Amino acid sequence: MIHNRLKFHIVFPSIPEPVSDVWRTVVACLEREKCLPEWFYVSQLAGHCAELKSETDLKITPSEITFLIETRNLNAFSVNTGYSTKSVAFDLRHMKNLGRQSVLECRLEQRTKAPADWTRLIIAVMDQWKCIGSWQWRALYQNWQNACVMGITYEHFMGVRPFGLKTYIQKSNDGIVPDREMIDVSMNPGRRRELIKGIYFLSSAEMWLGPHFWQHAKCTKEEAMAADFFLEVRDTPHFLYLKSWSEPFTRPDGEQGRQQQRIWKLFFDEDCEWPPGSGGISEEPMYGPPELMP
Amino acid sequence: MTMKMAEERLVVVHPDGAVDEFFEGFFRAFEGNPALMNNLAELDLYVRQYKNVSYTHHASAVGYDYAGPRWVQVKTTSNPSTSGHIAAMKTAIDDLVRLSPADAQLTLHILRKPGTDSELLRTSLQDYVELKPYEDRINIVIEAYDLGPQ
Repeated sequence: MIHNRLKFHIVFPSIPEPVSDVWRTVVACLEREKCLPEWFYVSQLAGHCAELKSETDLKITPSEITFLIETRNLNAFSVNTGYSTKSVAFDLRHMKNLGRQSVLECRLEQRTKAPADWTRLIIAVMDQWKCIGSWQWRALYQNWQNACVMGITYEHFMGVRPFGLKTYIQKSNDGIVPDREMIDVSMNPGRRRELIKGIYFLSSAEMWLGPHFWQHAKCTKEEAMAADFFLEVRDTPHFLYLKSWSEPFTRPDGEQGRQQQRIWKLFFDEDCEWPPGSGGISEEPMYGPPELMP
Repeated sequence: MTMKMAEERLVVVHPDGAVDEFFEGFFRAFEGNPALMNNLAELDLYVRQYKNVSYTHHASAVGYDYAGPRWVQVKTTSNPSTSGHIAAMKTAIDDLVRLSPADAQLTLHILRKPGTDSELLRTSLQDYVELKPYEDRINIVIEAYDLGPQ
């Protein structure tokens, strides 16, 4: 079962330091929303130096995690409350051999007690660290639009396979894993785009774009602010907030699809299409998980 | 500990931790010990499948077991449908991602007890990796393997 919870990610050009303050900010947000778990499993791999690495997770309280981050001088963290339908996880990770750019993100499940909206956390973080940006979206739509592996359950979760869907074979590179059919999502309105290794832009209905975003875009901040299709534009000392739809996107077609098309055009001079192979944006809703059909 | 002892005494261990020999008779002597069977399965799988395609075995590494064209974590399960075993496999995926280079191709290779149903495990793990940044570079292989007495 793929859930449809509201998710977010916040991306940094480097490791946000002190890392313990990032954790404190997450804790404060969860506490305010009355959904802070009493304890977490804490990975002793994430952010640890080689001598301290262990596959055994610790089960400790949020304040003990703060202490752990500080005493072990962690440069990342990974905490979770397990893998049940109520569990939650928060990760701050960087790209290891490929750079210090970092991502703060969460894993939510169907029945996780979590904030209904991540705006407060996003703003609290972006007010403290100079970011690339933050995005907030509904999981099901993003999962559908970015599903890149044609597995045996694709149609079960994502609905009928679109007629013009483009796929290609990813060949096994060791003869042990099988070849597999991959989906070309590069023209989907709801696709993600890698800005730098491991750092993704999403065409979400709400975006908070930080000072380090614009070097990756094909437009300037001023051009974005002058665009006439956003419902709300708010410039602050730490980010530019852009809202292009009243709710998180749920469809790649109709007016929602056209709004995402405008976003791709503005920021990257790229186009999109839905359904696949159509060369445009369908007026009528076509394909997708049954839950997302109007 | 037993694995370490085995390596020190009977297996050639390179300075980087790679193992390139396998002394089958020694390991047969330990049949019946479930914990050791898991380690034996890891070694047996290495010899049967991975060694011949340029992988090295990092027996003492945390988070992964073999490195080569892909970074591989091997796990065994006698009850693939239980929530605890599914959670353990998700943890193994997380650990593999944390310990490998950020652009590495990854494999979680699960050895399940013959006769057990792993469909729920397979779909749960597919759901879990979906939309993760590493979705297009991770493969999950599940195969039946005789784990010995459990």
